[in-house]
Amino acid sequence: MKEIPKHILLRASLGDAEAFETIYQLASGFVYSIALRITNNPEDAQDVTQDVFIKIYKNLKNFKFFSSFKTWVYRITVNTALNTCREISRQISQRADHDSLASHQGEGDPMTEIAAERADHERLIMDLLAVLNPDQRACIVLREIEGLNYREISEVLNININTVRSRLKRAREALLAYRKSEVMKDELPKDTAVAVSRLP
Amino acid sequence: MNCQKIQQLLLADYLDGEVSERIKHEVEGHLDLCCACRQFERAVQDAAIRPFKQARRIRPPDEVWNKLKEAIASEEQAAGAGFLANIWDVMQSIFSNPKLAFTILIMAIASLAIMVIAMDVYLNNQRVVKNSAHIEQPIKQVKYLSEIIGVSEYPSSDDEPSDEYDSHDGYGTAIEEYFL
Repeated sequence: MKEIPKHILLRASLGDAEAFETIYQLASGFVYSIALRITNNPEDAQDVTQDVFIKIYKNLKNFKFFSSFKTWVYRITVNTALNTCREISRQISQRADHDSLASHQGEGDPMTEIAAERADHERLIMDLLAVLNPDQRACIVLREIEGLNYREISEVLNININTVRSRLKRAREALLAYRKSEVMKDELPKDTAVAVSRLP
Repeated sequence: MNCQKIQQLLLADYLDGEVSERIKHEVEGHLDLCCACRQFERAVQDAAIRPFKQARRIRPPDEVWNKLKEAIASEEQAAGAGFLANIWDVMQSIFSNPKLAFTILIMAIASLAIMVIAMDVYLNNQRVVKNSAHIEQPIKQVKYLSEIIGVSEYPSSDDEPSDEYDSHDGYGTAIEEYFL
């Protein structure tokens, strides 16, 4: 997220709608991407984005600039996304969600080769994130995608550094195991792979 | 360090750059010698690190901004209605409790009485000030008459010094001068 000038934040905190729109333009991609990675569902990510900006709008007048605006937005976004994940314990198949994301991204324009490649990559990321629980997902997103260090992650999630470390470790172990199972499926003959996939 | 310890570091601290220089050298030294740990590192990179490196920022659809504007507008409306509703609730809670209502009524009457008394005192003061203004007029008239007849019972500021005034033995009339 680009650094948002202080005078825009101050103007928005005084109710300036134009300044608030500027904040939305600069931060919405950042907020939506994190929400999408953590919820792993485009519709939920849109709801989270909306909630996050309502919270920003309501609480901006109380923001004292003690921490950076970015850290503050990280915290609101991750917590809102995690709460959404906890509240919505739905039994929707991840595959359907991925299909809706792919169709959403391809809307309106023909699927070029690059777009198809991007959609495939997005699908891979979502498959990997689907292996993790929401807390592990939040840690992986903040570490791998946002590039935060352990101290910064612990501040955003309000947990201690050892918890950050152990969540990342568990997440990577889970991703390794998933990768192994995928490789096994690819190497096995098709019939056996189907049989393996039906195993509990 | 054994392979198990190295692989634990590879899963978190080492790959995240959270180890000291000494530990980093130690891990690198081990990786140079140990083929299994090298393979393990490559597997972690492929499965858990590299796929996320190319993750893109995705902008939300435009409808999110439109929904957000509507949500903020309705929040503000609700906040306004909420304020009035709060006042109504407070009134209802007051009048549903007779004891509290009676206390508030007595306090209101007492406040009204204090206000009436204070207003009365204020008006009386105003009247006294007005009357004192009326009194000044006759004083001026007496002063004027006394000046005409030459009696300086009411010396003005521009009169002669007081010692001269005190040295007067009489009124300075023709009769007085005749006798004296």
